Amino acid sequence: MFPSELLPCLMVALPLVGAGLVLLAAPKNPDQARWTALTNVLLTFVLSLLLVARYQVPELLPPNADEVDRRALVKQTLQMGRAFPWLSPRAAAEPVAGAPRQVDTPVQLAFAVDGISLWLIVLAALLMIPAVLVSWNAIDERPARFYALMLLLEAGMIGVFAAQDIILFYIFFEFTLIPLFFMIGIWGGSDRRWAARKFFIYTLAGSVLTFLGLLFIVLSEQWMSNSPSLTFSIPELTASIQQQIASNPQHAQYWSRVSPWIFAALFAGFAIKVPLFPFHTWLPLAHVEAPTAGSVLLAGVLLKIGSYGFLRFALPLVPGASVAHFHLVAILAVIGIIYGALLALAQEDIKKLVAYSSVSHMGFCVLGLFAFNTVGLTGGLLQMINHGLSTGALFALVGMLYERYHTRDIASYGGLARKYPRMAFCLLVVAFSSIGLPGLNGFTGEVTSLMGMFATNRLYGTLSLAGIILGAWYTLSLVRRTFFGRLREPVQSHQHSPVVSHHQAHGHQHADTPLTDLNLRELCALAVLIVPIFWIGLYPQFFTRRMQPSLQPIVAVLQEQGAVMLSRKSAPPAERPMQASQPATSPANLPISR
Amino acid sequence: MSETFSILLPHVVLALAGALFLLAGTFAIPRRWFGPAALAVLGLTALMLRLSVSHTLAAGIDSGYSVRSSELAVGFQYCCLAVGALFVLQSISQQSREEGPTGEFYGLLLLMIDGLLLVGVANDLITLFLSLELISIPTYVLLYLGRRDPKSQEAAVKYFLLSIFSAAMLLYGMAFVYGLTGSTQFDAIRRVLIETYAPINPEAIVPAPSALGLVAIAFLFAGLSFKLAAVPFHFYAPDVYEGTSAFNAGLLAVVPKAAGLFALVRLIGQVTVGFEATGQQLALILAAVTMTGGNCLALLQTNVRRMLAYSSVAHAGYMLVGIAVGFWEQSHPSQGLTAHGGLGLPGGLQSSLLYLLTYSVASVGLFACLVYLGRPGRQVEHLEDLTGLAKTNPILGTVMALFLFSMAGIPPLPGFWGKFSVFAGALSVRQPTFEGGFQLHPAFAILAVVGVLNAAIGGVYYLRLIALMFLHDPLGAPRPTGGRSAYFAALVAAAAVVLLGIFPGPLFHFLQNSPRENLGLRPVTAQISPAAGNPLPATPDVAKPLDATAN
Repeated sequence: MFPSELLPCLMVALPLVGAGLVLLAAPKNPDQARWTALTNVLLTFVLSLLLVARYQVPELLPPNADEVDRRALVKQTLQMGRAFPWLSPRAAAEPVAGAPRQVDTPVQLAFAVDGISLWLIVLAALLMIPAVLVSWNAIDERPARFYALMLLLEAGMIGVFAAQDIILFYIFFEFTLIPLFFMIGIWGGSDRRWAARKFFIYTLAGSVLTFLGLLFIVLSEQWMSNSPSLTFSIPELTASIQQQIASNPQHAQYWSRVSPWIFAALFAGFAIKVPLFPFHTWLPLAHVEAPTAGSVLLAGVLLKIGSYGFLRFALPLVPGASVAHFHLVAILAVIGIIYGALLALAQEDIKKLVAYSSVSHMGFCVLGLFAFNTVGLTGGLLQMINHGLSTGALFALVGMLYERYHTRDIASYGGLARKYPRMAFCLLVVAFSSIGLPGLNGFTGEVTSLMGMFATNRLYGTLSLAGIILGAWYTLSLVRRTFFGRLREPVQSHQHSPVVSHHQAHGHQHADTPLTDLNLRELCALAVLIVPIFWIGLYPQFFTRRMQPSLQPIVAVLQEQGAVMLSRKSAPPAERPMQASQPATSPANLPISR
Repeated sequence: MSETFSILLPHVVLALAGALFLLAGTFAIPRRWFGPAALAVLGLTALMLRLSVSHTLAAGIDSGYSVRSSELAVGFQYCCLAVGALFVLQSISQQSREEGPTGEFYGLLLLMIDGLLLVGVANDLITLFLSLELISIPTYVLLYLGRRDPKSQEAAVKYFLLSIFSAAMLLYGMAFVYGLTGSTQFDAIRRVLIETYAPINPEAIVPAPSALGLVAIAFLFAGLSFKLAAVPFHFYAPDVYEGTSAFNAGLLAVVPKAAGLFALVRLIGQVTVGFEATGQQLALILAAVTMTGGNCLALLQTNVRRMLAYSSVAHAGYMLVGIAVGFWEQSHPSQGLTAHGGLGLPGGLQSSLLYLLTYSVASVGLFACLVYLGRPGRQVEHLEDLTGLAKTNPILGTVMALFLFSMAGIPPLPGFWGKFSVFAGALSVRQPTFEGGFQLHPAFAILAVVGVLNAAIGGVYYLRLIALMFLHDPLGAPRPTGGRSAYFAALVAAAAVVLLGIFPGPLFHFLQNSPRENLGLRPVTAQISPAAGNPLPATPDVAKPLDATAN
């Protein structure tokens, strides 16, 4: 059909075009905007499936692999890449002898896919479908603009994961704030303005520091390699820095001196985005006030940008500092898991409950990533996908319930299963996925994350088990209180405005005429999430096989550099032989105090 | 001689036209002719500039003339003409009004733009001072013209007095430079200073920087900081912006700042050889204080123009970051971003110019929106006056949001590229360590951190305005009465913002590849670094598959 190389670029471009088309739709005809948006989102999703189909699974490294093998593997895993010059005005001309050298800024429009970003891109494209569908009737005020913003957000989300240029990554990273700010601020709940501003400022404050960290990585790489030009390409940077610190002791020393600072800068942005424990206060507010689609995308995809940032930048680029800060991050993650779960347990508002459960579940992702072994990293990455699916579905369900009764108060519901059997079924599946019932996706993600963590540090693994138990508690009690027992429905606040009749005239079942079970549209929205929930739960190898080759080189670097870093503390560097040649055989080799 | 004449030709045209407008204002010529005529004059000047470029660039670097053109100066002049045209455009549709612009108004505006252009080519302390005064004096009159309420009178007097004061400081500094070097001509000054403080012969004894020079630098900085509205020379800005019209505030936010910054950039290359360390410290402190002061005070404002005044103060701080880096690069030409003849990002001075351009475009557009929304009698005063603007006027709201996001530095708008290059410069400054390695210069690292945190603080108040416009319902009926041409000017600026944001490449390319001598900087070869000897191929940035590039 067309070259695979263009697929990631196309996936970024298509929603941008869609946003323009949606805005062009007639303002009098909101259906036109809805269908345009839906078509665009479905097309993008088809492209993402094509991405999976064309992704060739590389072979895993043999256990005695050396650095050369690792490089080769990295090269293999990065597929469908394409880079266009951006900050240089045109393709660089051949240097003319005698003429002064033309200096250009080597920032590129570079997109590619590897095992880490592949599934996150698919997740973003997938979650857009329910996001569009749940907004179908919920957004009746200026829907064209809402869908245009949503498509802009999609372009930003896919761009973040597909970008292979450090500046391009940051541009998409910050760009996602703009559409979401307007989505929360205009279409959100009663406290939407404050929520939108707090979300924006909080994330901005962290990410500007991350920006400095990323810039410093680029500049430091040039200092070390003394190359005539800066490098902004992420794979080149990673390869070059890893080579420098492995081959030159002076550079290794320099890097071990600056990497705590770089780690701190990266941590500032990514920990807020994840969010890790003390930085989570923006999250419940933004989630609760956002419109349903905003919550789905925020919880489903945007939080993953934080953990993706750790996986893409912190772990491979500053492995020493990542290992050195293991305890800090792990403790924050464990606190987040338990504290988030306890807070969720105390909530009376369904959406707040789900929001705090996000804090808890994202802790497992980070815990998996900071286990520094293949099992843990795979689990962490898988958990990102799982959390996206199950929390996205939970928010969608909450939104559907809210459309019917206009309250999110748990106490005012009861026994809804009798009236809404389909909704009850979906909720049960999603809830079981969220608490990690074997056979569903949550189980595979949590178990692999925790297995990884157990191999590294038993204490944190054990402590975080409490999060699973608490998670089952609050999730199941939510289900029990709202859907089982005696039927109790909240007193309806009748807001039958002319809008309702207008929509009924167009043959819609409007949100304000509730009290029927899920309709086809809503079922479709949930089905696209429930299918992969079963798929990942029953056949996770399909997903992990494509992830692991990309994770293996990161783990290898972590084990080598982390070992060097930690051993430095006990002995002076000069007397210490480089441990780079030791093959990483088992994750338990990691010399982290138990 | 002919080169000097070619360089001055566009200025002569502009000045003559300005004088003609002043004269014509006294005759009964219909007012509506003046605006288009002024636009035509600016177009003519651009044409003259284009025609004279081939002559002017031929003049060598050490020409000894009091004006000297360069690629960079020509680029600066084109930008100034474009910005000037946007200002003329804003005022055209107000001509039908009683207190609308007259012949004098356009005459003074043209003289002011002429002064700005002259800053670009000034190669002599006296020419530089003249060109700065050519900007200031019309400003005094413009602040008075057509405004009779006490508040605007106060603003005009305040600006007048403080401006005179700053001009005196600048002159005082220039006098010291003359005393130190015996010349007012840039090239001569530079020759003397290099012979004394940076001799080519490495065995020559370099004296300690003379106290005269230190005083000179301090006063030059003080005088130009007033133009830049850098803390602590910013006190006039909020009062004057608030007291005067939106149009005048826009002029003050852009024109003196551009003039001051370009003058500073030129002076750094020429008269600060040997005094880089002092200049660097001054710029560092000024930058940190200006950014923080401007941003924190902007947070507290409720008046739109006052808030924008403090925001323009803060932006001067970011520009000064580039200036501080420029000082360092001046004394370490083979290190940092200038190593190997350029690493792919503009150096300190170039980055501050890049920042100036991105700031100016957004600023002109923002003030044009305010001009459009108000009329001389009743202007947009409080932030609340803009409440719900996006609902009553979606296009204008979107355009304003573009400008504000750009000023906040949100990618992919031009403000981001400005901050990107400025902070990359700050992080590229390094110093040797005792072990023979190198490390980040701690002062610059702190400056960069302060800078980005300030960007986040800036985000707070820009976002507050955006939130007011987009997230609230309108309070009263909309009253865009400023005329269609102001609206058009805002749209043009918005188009420029979008274009610069998505395609900043040509700008980066231009700034990196205009020779360092254009800024008056020493060429990199003055100190030969070990790796700079071999000519290196251009960066391979042709489109190609990524996986082939990862080694």
